[in-house]
Amino acid sequence: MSKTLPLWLMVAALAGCGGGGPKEAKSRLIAQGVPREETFIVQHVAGRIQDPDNFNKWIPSFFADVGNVGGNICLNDILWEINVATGEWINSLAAAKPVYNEDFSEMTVQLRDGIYWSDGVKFTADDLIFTVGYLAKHTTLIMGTVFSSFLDRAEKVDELTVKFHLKEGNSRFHANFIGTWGALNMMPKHIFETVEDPLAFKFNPPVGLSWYTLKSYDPNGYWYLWQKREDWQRTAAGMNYGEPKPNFVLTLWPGSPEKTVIMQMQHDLDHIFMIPPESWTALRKRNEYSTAWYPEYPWAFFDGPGLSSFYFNNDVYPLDNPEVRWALVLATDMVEGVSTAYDGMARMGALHTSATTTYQEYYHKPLQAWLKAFTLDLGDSEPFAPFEPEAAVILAENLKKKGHPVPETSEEMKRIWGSGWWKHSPEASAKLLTKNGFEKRDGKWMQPDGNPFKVVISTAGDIFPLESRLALVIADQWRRLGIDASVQPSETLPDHIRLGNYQIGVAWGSMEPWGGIPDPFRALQLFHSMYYSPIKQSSQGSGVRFKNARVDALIEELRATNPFDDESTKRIYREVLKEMVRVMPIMPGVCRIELSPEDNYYWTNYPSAENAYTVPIVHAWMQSKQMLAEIEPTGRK
Amino acid sequence: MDALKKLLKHDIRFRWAFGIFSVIALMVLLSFFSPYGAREWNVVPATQPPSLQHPFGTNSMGQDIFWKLTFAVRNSMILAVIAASVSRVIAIIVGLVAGYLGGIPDRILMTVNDSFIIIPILPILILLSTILSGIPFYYLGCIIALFGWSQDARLIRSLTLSLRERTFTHTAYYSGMGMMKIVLREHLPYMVPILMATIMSNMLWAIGMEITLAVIGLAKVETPTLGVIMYWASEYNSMLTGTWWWLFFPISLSVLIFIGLYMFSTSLNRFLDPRTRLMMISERKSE
Amino acid sequence: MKQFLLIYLAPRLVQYVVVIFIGVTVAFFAPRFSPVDPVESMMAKVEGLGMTMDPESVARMKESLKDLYGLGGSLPEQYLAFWKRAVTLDFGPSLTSFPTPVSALVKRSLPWTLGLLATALGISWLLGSFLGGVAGYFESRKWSKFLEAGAMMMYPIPYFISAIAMQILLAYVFPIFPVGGAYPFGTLPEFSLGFVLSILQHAILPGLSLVLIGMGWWFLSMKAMISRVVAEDYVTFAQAGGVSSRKILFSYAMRNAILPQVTSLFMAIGSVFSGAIITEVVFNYPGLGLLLRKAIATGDYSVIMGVIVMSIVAIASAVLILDLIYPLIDPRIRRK
Repeated sequence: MSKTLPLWLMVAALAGCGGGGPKEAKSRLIAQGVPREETFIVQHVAGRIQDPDNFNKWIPSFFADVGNVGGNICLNDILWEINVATGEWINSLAAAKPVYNEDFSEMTVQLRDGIYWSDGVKFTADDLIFTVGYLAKHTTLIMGTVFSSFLDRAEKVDELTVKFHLKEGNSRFHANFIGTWGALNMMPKHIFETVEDPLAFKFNPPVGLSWYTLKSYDPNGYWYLWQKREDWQRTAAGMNYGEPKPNFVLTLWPGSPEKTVIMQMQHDLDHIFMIPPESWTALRKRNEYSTAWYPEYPWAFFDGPGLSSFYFNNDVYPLDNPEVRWALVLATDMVEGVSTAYDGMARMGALHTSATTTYQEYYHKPLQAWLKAFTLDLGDSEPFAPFEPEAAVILAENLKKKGHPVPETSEEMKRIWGSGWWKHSPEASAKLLTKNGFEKRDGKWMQPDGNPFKVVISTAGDIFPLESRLALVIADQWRRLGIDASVQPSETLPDHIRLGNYQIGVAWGSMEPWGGIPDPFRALQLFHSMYYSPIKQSSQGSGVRFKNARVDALIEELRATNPFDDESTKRIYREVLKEMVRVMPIMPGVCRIELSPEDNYYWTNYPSAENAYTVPIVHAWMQSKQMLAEIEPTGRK
Repeated sequence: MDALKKLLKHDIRFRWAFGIFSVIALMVLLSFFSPYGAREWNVVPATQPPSLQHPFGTNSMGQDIFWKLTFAVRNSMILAVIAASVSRVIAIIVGLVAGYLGGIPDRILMTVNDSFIIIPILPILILLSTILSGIPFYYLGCIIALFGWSQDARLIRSLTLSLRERTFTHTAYYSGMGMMKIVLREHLPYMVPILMATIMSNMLWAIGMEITLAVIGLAKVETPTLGVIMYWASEYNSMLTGTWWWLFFPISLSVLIFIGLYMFSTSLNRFLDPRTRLMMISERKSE
Repeated sequence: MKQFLLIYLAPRLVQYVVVIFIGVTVAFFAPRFSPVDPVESMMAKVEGLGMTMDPESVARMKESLKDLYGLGGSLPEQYLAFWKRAVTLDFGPSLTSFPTPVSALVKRSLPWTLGLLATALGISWLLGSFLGGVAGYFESRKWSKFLEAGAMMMYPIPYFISAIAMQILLAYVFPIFPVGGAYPFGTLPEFSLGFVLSILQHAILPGLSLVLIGMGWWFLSMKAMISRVVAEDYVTFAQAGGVSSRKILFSYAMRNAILPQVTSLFMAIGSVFSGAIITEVVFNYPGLGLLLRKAIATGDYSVIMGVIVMSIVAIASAVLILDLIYPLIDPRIRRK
């Protein structure tokens, strides 16, 4: 048994003697000689870590943990990052963007000079070559199969240059090295070359390339404490952003949303990942130092590249009919949905892609004219134009009535709530259903096969509870129109989607490109029919059972395009988006709301709408580490 | 009817239980006249404290908590009745078979039975309801029932054993009555009152289980039950946001139901205990 | 002695085996009906990382994962293999905390659960029995009736409700105790008075919510027994003979009534364990409950099965051990 058993016996003895508990000590966060004012305390959402002593993040399974408990901002580094907030490409361990040859069969990477591992060894081309080689050899490790199938060999050109020879042309090979919430982390060659069984190796203490090292961790998995490296200048993060301000970073899992908020009220938690709007109201009333992305309503950060959307199972009757899918879209009142479920704290996206500020510029705005001209055939003489370019304005009116302050101009409203959504038109929806053989009897829609039109919306349950809310409101809207809709939360929803064991699922996974840069390839490729698999067979793609020759052709065209040719990328992707609107495989929804309150008691200058230097998702997103260099101590003790 | 009068007259617990049950029955009845649907959102102003118009307040989803609770009480009671009756069927079969057959079948059955008493049920129930996530609450009732019979099967067995040794059983047996008939005609009437008492305590247990499973998110969150209402309250962090009425009323109501059911069951037990009856008779004489 | 072994010991050993058999079988088959495939689950997570993979390398990765997780072979083969693991308490590696063995995870959590369970069960049993005994002896007193009413109000309440009520009352409304966890963030476990006190402080609320409910039952059953014993002749004689109430209560009445209380203590371990699990979820206490909750949320087969089987084995063993000790307390059994 572990060390805790004798402790328990003591506890029992003390409890038996009637020993009462002491009041919570004031200095509880200054344990281990760490002053509170030098520590940046971050909430992570990985839950209680079950095996906190394992830092080998190349084992499939573990990556979900160490990167998410501070590893991605403190310990690990990768070749490139993309700043979603600014649309900026960041060279991290690499000195420049990758260079491909003509047919994309070779990719050359130039590494940054002067970077050292936290144990003092210099980082060179050998480490990169060793990492990919080691993974290709051990295919049970993360990305092992990727390198064993794509990579022919990695050639050392010089001390800091690596040329990858690929088995076949692949213009997106660099995707394996770009990270927002994680990608391939470098392995220290000098440590791993002696490791026989990588699965049994715990990599404890971990050696990293980023500007902090692990100081200590909770053997019971609630927290990790990171300490600033003395040689932080010798890291890519240090070179890019300068000195990180906190001497310590403490990442922890508070346990419950209530405890999370209480901790920030007591200035014990500087950064919260995500809380529901109601809790934010309670928090800002009780802690004047708490701020969010916008200084006032609508508060939340809308630029997360994920778009919470309704994934139709395109192989399930009657959703296999695009017009039936469209009928559901027209039966949806997204404005009311956002107002009711999120109190207006979400941006709507009408297209099958991110709705971030940068993507609005790349795609939503340039497509406005086409969207306005797009029509549906409802079965009567008049074509119906389903696009509502003023959705943001309608929403703002609605929110104004609820007493929220909204911007003056429609321009500003659209910047916040998005460039339009689809019309809420029960009449058009009914016409489409009728056209396809549906019939309304006693206020209930009947399918052409005589059964009631019944849809079940699956949501991700407790993992992302906020997504269930929108589903519940929309199910209610559909029911009012006579469609028998219900919501079913399931913690294993991603598995159901992969296996096609669902009707409609609320998810965001396959519509989350990197964001920031126009290249949608990471998310888009999943819609290639190469990834199609019938129901009950596991799908590696989007999971919506989507097959479309035109989209296939466009994806292949994109694959053969230079990844840094932004204009061609945008042109091709716009065509894809148009085709997606026509067949509507997924009902686009809202950007995932990230209401991430920060406490300005000990630290200040967090990223915000006015000073959007990076995304406020510190627990996991690599580019959020910039925050550590930008925040300033307030001097309070 | 006579028994009811007696109980009401002599047992304060029964009077309490009866009062509580009238309230519950009224709520179940009211649910059929609710002005709002059980699954409707945004029908009343959101997050209002209790007032004349909304006696239990409204929640952040724009629902009236009082009317929502009428549905919840109805569904929770239905679930409890299902769980209790299904588990009673299992308990009766196991108890009767073990008691009458005796010998090796008895030993086998009782060994299995005791295993179900010892095994920690909650982890298994959590596992099953995760696997069957989002099943309608009446199925959940059946699943809960599968694990809620063992204590009472033992009780029925011991009852059967004592009945089997009574003279009237022997008389009936020697007069050529089949065992089956004896059980159904002669013995079951003795057991019914005791079964009633166990039904109450089993219902209580089932409601508690449903609340436990629902609050950790393993129920169908659209169908209101007592547990589902508490689940939503905690989903909207009601403790934090100060909407105390969202948790206070469902918790108080369930505590009331638990106490009511328990009092019912104990007062029935007391009533059936011959010693208590003697006491009642002597009390009546002294009046 | 031989007879004792045969009559007393043998059935208990059989019972032990049957409990474990049922538990293991349920634990094996239940997840197989689940639509969640651990390999698929893992693939979904890999995809979430933002990896680009062609279908071929995906298929290869799946094969590797299947081998790693020991999911190959037919159902009976897997069942036999599972038994082998259950007997050796080796449930292989956890799927989400791969390759840490499940037994290591359980070992890390079990002391917390056992600590909570044993302390809460011990305190509630001792206190409940004592108060119940005294209240049963002085049945007609006002405070006795008052205590009984209290116990009756508490006993039927499920553990979850009492946990959440305790949390609301003593952590939010009157913030006397911490909301959850086992010790403050940032402190490393150590053998010092301060740390032990902070553990104690964090354990009070979860413990209290278990004790209050448990006490109700022990109180009621003890009181019922004592009031029956008190009515018996020998107590009346003793009272008539001028033996002090205290002596009668503790030397005669309690002694007789305590044995059935011990027997029902054995039977209650399983249900109190369930209570401890849900209490841990409410208070984020680092025990088996929290481990199980996360395993279920992430579809971690091995951990789910490991936790369930190991807790069944642990509880069955606890009952068996108590059963074996029991004849030492109650001489009547030895003589039989």
